[in-house]
Amino acid sequence: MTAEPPTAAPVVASEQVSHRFQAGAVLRGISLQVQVGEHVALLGPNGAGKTTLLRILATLLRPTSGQVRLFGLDPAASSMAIRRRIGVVAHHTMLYPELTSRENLRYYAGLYDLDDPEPRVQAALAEVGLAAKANALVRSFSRGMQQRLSLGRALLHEPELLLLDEPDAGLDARALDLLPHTLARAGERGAPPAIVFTTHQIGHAAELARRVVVIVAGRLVFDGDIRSLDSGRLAALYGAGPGGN
Amino acid sequence: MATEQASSIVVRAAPASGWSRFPRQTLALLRREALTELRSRETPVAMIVFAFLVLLIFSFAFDLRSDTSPEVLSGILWSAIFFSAMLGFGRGFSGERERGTLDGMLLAPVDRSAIYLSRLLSHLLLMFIMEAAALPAAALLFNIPVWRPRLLLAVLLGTVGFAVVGTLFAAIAANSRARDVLLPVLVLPVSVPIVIASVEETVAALSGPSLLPPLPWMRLSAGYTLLFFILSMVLFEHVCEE
Repeated sequence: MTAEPPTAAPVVASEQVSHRFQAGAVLRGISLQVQVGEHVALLGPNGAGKTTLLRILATLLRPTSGQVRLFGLDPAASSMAIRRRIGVVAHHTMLYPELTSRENLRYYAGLYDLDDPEPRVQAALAEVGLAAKANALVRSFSRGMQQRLSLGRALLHEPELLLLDEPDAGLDARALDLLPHTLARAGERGAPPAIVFTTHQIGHAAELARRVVVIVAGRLVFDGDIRSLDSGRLAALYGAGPGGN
Repeated sequence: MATEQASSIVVRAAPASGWSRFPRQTLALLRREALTELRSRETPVAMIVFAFLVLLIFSFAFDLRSDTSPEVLSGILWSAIFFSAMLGFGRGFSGERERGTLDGMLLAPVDRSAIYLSRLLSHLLLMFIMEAAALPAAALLFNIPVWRPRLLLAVLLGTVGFAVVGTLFAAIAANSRARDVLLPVLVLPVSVPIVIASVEETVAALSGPSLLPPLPWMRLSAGYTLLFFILSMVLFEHVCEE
């Protein structure tokens, strides 16, 4: 293990980030900063650009224009160093149904080149409540169990930035309860990770974050304390944007 | 920005150097691919059945006799190998993209050439399994002396060449919605030198008793394969980008 001196660089710093697909512009000039250990909820109607923004932050997409720095690093020049420090939970669980949950996590431990992976795999399975299902094939899992295992996969390498795309989608009540606890425990092991997550539920956003960012039709229309945002104001923000519904 | 800054207080895993990480990550990818194929068995079974059907259709269509020319036999054998290999190429990257597991690979700090190499080895394994079934079938249906060392060398060279080209274009096609149509349109024209060299080497193997393959065709096949392999390892990073 090596230590690097602490610096003031934010975990995420995006400046005027825009992205355009063939069908048209998806993001329009998003500027966002996320500090070490900060939790940020991204809210917005369907098609607002939340997932595209997460994919840019995950280094899976390059923005059409604007600049993104992660941990003070340029993703184009330091993608490997950045990917090592990011964990992602997306709509797809990124799991192989033909493998057991242990085999899936061991595979990802191999991709992240983790030393002594077995204790980490066991700990991740225990954290998401699937230790008893370590040798069960993922194809036999419910959507909620797969989503929990996906969270374990994302936490396996102890990332400093967690990007969660609708982590509450498909989760049963037990798994929903587990989510904030699992994320809190992830922070207890070392420096707490910064978390950026998307959701449609303002209630779920309030459970995990104090800061909320609202994106409507690719534009950032609100960035502030979640306590200053109720469902009525949120609906007004959604309606105010050109793509609001 | 002139200097790169790192924000965290603790770096939680000391990164190994790229060269020591590369073989371990390639092995992890290959092991997972072998395990998923072994468990599902869908792709190798589909490839074997398809190769067998191609051979069977040709045997009915041409009413082949023992005096059929080596040129025709070579063409039939390679048609079966190439078309069933396309089936394997089409399922690899496309399946990963549809399931979202490709993102899992791309999110990890894995050198993109390790992803290419593991997929290439996986395609080679699948093709060898298919050929282990298709060659005896060809021997039975067409009386081809498949166990000649010279013929086996021709099959080995053609297989490696086609897999090297096919793996690169399978990744490119996987980014497109029309991936099933695009893959053969991309792979087959670019593979023409491999196809011609493989067919010519096989004709020579079926025609004469010599153990030596025709060197110019062998050189063409090996040179083209090496060139494409180097290009693929270098360009794969860009192929993976959305």
